[in-house]
Amino acid sequence: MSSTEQQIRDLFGRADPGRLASLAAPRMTSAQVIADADAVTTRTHRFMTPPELGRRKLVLAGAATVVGGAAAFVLTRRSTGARTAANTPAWALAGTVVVPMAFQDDTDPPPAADRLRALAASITDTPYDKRPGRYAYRHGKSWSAGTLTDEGHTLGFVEEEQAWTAPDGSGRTRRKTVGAEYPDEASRRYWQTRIARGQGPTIPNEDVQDVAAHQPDPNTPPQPADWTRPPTDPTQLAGLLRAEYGARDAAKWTMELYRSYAVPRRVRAGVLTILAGLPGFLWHGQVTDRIGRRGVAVTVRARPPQDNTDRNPYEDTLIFDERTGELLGYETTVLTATPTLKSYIQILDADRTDRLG
Amino acid sequence: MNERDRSWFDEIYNGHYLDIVRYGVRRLAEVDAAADLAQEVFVVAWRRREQVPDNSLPWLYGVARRLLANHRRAQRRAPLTQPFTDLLRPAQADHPQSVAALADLAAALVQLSDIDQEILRLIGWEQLTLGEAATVLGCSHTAAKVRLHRARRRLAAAMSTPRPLTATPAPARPVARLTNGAHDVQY
Repeated sequence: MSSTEQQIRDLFGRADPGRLASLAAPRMTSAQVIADADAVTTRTHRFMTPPELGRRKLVLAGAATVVGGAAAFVLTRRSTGARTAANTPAWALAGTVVVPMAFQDDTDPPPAADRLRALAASITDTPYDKRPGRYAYRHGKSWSAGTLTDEGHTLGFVEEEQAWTAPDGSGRTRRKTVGAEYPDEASRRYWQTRIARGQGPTIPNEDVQDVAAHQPDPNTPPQPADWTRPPTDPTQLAGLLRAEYGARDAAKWTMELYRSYAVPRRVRAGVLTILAGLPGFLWHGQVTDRIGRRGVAVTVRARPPQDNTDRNPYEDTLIFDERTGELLGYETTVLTATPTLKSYIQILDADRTDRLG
Repeated sequence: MNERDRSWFDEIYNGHYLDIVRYGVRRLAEVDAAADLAQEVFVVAWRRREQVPDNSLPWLYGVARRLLANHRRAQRRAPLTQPFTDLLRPAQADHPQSVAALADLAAALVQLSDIDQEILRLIGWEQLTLGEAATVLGCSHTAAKVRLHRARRRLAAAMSTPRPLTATPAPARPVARLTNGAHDVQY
C-alpha cells in the first residue's frame, strides 16, 4: 500500500458513514438471487402496468420479489420455461443488423416547436378513442443492445409485448422473444456462430404474468381512481412526462406513457403541446419507420452526465403518426463516428377491450 | 478463472454482500436502499458471471456505481451521493471527533466533482488500491493515478478554505429507495 493511499484512509476512516452502520444478513439466499437473475434477464424495455409515473414507488426490479410491501402489485408468473440450444428457433440463427433511422433531410433540421403545436391542433381520433372497453390494451415490440462481450460484440433480443390493464390496476402482460438483432456486422457474425453451436445466451420462452389489483397503501401518494386513464390536466401531464427536467427526459417519459396507456386524443394533443414548449427538439419531417409506417420524427441530443466515462452524445428520436398524433416509436442512438443504434421501441397497437388476452 | 457455477456465486455472494451494502450505505444514507442496491448488483453479477474477474470486489463496486448513476439519471433529482450532512446521523456519529471529522470532510468533499469524490471514497472507505479503484471507475491505472493526485489537491484546497462558523445544515432529504429503473440499467 502506498503512503498516499494510507494518508487518505487515515483521513477518511473516522468519517466513514458505513463504519458503524448496522447491517443485516442478506434477505435472499444466493440461490434466490440466481433465480431472480434468470427471471429478469430480458426485462429491459418491457411493458408494465401503469406505474405511478409522477412519484413512482422506487424498488429495484431484481429485489421486487422480496421487498414485502414495496411492490405495489403481485405477479403470478406462468412462464413456460426456456429454450435450449437443442431447439434454437430459426429466427435466432437468422438475426439481422439494425442501424439508426435515416431522415430525408438531416443537414439542418429546424426547431420542432411550431410543427409540434400544429400537429397537436390537427390530430384526429383513433379507432379506440370512442370505443368502450374495460381494459386498456397495448401492444409493442422492443430491442436494446443488451448482451455485451469483453470484445465488444453486442446482442439484443427483440421482445414482443402485450399488456391489458383494468381501472383497478389489475390485468395481464404477455411477453415473447421473437428475434435477435445486432448493432453491427461483427457482432452478428460473432453471436450467430455461437448460437449455432449452442453457446448463445438462453432464449426465454413466452412469459405470462397476471397482475393483481392495486391495493391502497398509506405510504404512497394517492393512487389514480382509474389506472387506464392518464391525467388530462396539463400540469399533471407535464409532471408525468418529467418536462421540468428537459426535452430528453420528456422524450423518454412520452414513450413510457404510451407503453402504459391507450392514450386518449386530448392527452395526445397535450403531450405534443408540452414537447413543443421544451427547447431541444428538432424537426425531421416525414419518415418511414422500421416496419414501414409513415410518421413524422423529432429528435433531441444530449451528452451523458459528467461522471459517465462514455463521452459520446446520444440522440433520441420520437416518431409520431401525423394523422392521430399517436407515438409510433422511440429510438436511442449513440453518436460515435459511426452512429450506433442503442435501443428502439415500436408501439404497434393500442385499444380498449373487454377481453383479457 | 474459476468455473462460474453456483458454488462460485455462493462464495462471492457470501463474501462480498456486506461490502456492497456498506458501499451503498456510504452513498445512499439508507440501509434498506443499500440492501436493494446490493441485491441488484449480485443479480447483474450472476447474469454476467463470465465477465467477473477473479478479484471480483472492484468489479462489483463498479456495477454498484453504474447502477447508482443510472438511478440518478432516471430520477434527475438527487446527486449521485447523498450530501454528507444527510449521513450525519446519531447512530453513526457516535463520538464528537467523528462528528467533527465528518463535518470537515463533508464541507470539503461537496466542493469536489463526483469523480474526484468517488476515487477518494473508494480508497478511503472501500480500502481499495489505486489499481482496484481504476477498475471501478473503468479507467487505466495511469488515469486513476492522475485523477487521485488532482482530487487530493482539490480536497486539500477545499479543506483549507475557511468556512462560516455557523453553517446551516442542509435539510434532510427524503430518502430515496432505488428505482426499478429497468429502462436505464443496460447490462
